[in-house]
Amino acid sequence: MQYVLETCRLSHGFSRRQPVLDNVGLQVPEACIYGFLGPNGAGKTTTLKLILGLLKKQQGDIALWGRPFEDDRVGMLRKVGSFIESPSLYGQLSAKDNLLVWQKIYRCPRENIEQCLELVGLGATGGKKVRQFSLGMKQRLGIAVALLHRPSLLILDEPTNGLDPHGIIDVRELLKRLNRQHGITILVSSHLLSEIEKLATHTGIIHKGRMVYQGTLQELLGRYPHTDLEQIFLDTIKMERP
Amino acid sequence: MTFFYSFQSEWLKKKHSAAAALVWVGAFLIPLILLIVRLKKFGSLAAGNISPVLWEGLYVRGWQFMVFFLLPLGVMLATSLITQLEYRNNTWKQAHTTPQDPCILYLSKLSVILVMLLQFFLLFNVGIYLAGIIPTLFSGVPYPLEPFPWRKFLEGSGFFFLDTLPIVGLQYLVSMQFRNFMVPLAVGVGFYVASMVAVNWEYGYTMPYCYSSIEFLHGHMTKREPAVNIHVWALAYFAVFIMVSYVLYRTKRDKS
Repeated sequence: MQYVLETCRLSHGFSRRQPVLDNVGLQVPEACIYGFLGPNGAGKTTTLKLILGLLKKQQGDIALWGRPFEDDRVGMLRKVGSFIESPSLYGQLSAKDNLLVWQKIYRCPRENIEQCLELVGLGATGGKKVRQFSLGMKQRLGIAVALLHRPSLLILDEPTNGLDPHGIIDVRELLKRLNRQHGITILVSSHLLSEIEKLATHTGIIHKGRMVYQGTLQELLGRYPHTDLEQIFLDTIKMERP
Repeated sequence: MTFFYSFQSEWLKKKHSAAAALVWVGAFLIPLILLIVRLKKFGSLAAGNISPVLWEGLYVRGWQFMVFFLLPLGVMLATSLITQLEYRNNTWKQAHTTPQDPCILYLSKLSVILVMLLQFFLLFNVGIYLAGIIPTLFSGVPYPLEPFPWRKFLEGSGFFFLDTLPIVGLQYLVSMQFRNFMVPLAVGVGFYVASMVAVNWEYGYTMPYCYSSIEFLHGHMTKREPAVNIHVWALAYFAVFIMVSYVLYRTKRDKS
């Protein structure tokens, strides 16, 4: 099977004694929505940062579209949109100027700016400075930054943090639409299990730096009929506890 | 071409920032003070404007205040503020996941600082010029008799630009490494004080922050020839700081 993103024996530690990731093998199939689940401190963000080259890789391999990431870092990043931990925005600029900063680098059409702002519901913010935005608005603008250059792979780390229920539904529907209509592969990490249940086609569960489950969501839910994802998740990580 | 787009992006980031405001305020502050002082002595304005040393006088007084205080502190602050834009807004992680070589990102950010410095010098010269001609708006004050010595002003600014490069280099190095804005500020103030103490010392030229002061003292106060070519020393320090900074930047384990 062709994976858009694949990690092999990915291990990482911030100190020698305590590894944060232990042989993580993540396999994200093309055109799927991959829900990356794990409790706080399980290693989700570290994995995503390693994939994007934000952390120096210590051990293991990372491949995008079947090729090692190091082979063509710039070319691959051109096709990846990301949102890690919290939105990266310049507070003194407007939403439009924030997108313009990244549009220059991606050299994508300028029309994408307006389209992305409309897409995330920020089309009417005008010259308002981002520092005056609510947390939810910032979160949506962060997603717009990730979508600006129409990436083939979207890597989102907790994209619904700080959003109200209405905003969460909006983001969920947006991601589904992007996946269905444009075939964008989405890797989304979240601690909101109900969200992943409603959104993902595939899932991976990480606990204490180790992958404890990986496969389709249907398969996981099928293993434990009449049980919701929350219970399955809790049972899965409980089984792994030493 | 990639550099060009990266530079455009970096230039846009400083829009409405404190660093951008500092360039304008810093460049026009001293000319404004000089203008106010001139207007206060209204009676001597006419004679001042026909004096053959009008521009020389404004130049010396302007740079005197500039090189000893505003220039080093302003450069220190502006360089640190530009770099800190990424830390403060949590945007390094986004910048490092864009399709550009980190070397391009590093150089374009540095180039923005250097262009801002050039902009500052240019605006300062315009300010001095305005301090000379604005009084002619009042009746009885003639237009300066002596033509504005653009060449001398630009040449002088060029040397001060070179002499300021070590400050840019070291501030860039420190502020790229530390998230806390106080660290580059403390390092800068420390070097600035040390340089002010050492400026008249025989080996003062070894201090990277005092070249603009030495240049001014040599040209207008002591007329004493420095023991070494301070411009070469300034360039050498800048090159070393920038290279060390680049190595530290590239080898950083966490780029988020």
